[in-house]
Amino acid sequence: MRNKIVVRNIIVFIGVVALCVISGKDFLRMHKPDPISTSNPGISEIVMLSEYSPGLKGTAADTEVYILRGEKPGGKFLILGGTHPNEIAGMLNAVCYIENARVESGTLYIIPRANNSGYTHTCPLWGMMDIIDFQLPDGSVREFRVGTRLTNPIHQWPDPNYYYGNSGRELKHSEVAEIRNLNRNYPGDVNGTLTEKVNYGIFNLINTEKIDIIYDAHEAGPEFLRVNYLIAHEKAMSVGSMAVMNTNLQGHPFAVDISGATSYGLSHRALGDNTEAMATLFETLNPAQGSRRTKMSRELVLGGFDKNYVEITNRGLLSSGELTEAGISINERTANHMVMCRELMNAFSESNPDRPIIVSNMPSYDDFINKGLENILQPINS
Amino acid sequence: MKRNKIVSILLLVAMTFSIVLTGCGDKKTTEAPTSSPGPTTQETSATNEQSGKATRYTSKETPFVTLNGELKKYESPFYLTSVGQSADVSMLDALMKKVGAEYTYNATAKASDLKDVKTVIIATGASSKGLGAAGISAEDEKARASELLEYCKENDITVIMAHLGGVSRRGKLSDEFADMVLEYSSGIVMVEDGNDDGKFTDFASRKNIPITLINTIADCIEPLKIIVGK
Amino acid sequence: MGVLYYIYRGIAVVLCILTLWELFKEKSIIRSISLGLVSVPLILRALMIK
Repeated sequence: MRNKIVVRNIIVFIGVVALCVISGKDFLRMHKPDPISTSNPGISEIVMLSEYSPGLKGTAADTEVYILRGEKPGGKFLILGGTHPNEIAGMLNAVCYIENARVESGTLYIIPRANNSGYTHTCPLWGMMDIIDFQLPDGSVREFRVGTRLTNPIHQWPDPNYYYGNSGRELKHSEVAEIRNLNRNYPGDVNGTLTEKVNYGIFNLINTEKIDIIYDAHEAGPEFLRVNYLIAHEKAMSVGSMAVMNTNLQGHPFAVDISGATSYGLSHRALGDNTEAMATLFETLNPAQGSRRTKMSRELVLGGFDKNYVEITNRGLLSSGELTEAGISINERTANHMVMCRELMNAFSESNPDRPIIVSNMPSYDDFINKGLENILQPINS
Repeated sequence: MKRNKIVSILLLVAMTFSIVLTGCGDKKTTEAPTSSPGPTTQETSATNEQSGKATRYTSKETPFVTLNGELKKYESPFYLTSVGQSADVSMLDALMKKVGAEYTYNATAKASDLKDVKTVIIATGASSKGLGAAGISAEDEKARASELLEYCKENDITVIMAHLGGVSRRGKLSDEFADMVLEYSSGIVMVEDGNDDGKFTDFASRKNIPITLINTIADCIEPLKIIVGK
Repeated sequence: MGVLYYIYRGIAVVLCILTLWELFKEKSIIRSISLGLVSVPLILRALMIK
């Protein structure tokens, strides 16, 4: 009888392990990096962030830095995508620049997956879609992981109950997990936590390469009060305001706000205070990040449509993240980031005519809307 | 015992069923949903007497309208400053550059900075972030504004109030700053969204000063060209 | 972090052995399934922490 029980339980154990292996494949897929096409002749060099933060070498947080140098000297622009991996338009904007941009003067530094560890997991209980895909005209499929805003706890563990790092921000109570949030730990620490090492790498890159403008690409749910806002450090307000004004003239409903003096650890405050660069951050609207959304679906994540938020908008309950029946597709959100980057470069060039940043070959806003990312992303070179 | 087992099994089935129901959609590669159209244009609000909202004058077709008089050229030299330290003063600075105006800009200007100035354009709107970045409190800002405005009155400097933040720059502190500047203003330029309750049009009517309402902040370019004589 | 990490790994291994021991000798099938479904993924996840 006892042997029968043991045999039965061994069968249960094998069944459970089989379930874990089958479902584990989905989780382990998240650890496989998404390839980015390097066929663009505009790419001059690809380096790893560990060159600027040695403690990242060999870790899951080490990430690629794509450098696109123009033939003529000029200003230097850093595009950060994937600071929060679930904010997909930011990453896709960076990828579109990597795969299409030709720099005529100046230099672009692009980090498409700033928090690389964050791409290896999704947030528990949010039910966020883990992978999105685009079918290209040649039949190939480009897949991108969605991830979540924090470093994976299997890469950085444990979360202490209280932390006070170089950022000057006290992480305690409800902010304990923010020790794994890249956008709360600038300027970072070369010997700090894994996330702080990433922060330090970016901070060191900015100082070493003498970056002129930082563009940190984000998305936010409809409840966020500063959707479609460019948040600028005071050093960046003049260029940022000019850029936003130019987007307004093109019909985009963007606005600018100043970085809060107590926004410790955030890129626009901490990098603006601790480097010579002009630090900016832009938020596009992503209804999938809202807490009042309906069931997660492809229509929500890529189409940006959610009937709950349309109803909430119609009742006049939102101040900046309003949503219409047309939704806000991933194409439009990525295009918004592209436009904001472009106008920041133009505004910088206007204010610094001796150090222009001139980029060509980027699809226009209308190209993003009418042709879609399927026709802007490049096939992966073999 | 048997009943407990049945209850446990039913609970397990119910939990499994609920997990299946809340799972993600399928990952089959299909065409992405149709992209949404280009930038949405601002629709003209219809007049709604029942809601108590002010009449809407501007629209995409009518980007700016001046009530209670004409928008005219003001005398230079021009000075641009802020009361409230909102980001709107930076946007106004960008607009003035776009227009090619000659002016001096200082968001935290003191009364003594206005020597020899003939017209000062004040962007109003409270921002705790802006005040924090400037290192001043709301009370300090009110004191600075009061001194600045009194200086303008004593030295015949024309004050034009610019309220470009729309409805997001309406609130207790923003309105306090706006009220201070209104008392000294000879003209108002504002995004019409910020006048939903008719506060500014009513004031302009009472004081008989021109008020230029604009549809969006980008529509401020033409009125500014007139003001600075470009 | 180094010492804490090794202490944690040690505790995880001990818990793993104890859990599997409990699982294999559990008389009730419902409890053995529940023990397996909850514990095994947790143990696997704990072992993934670097």
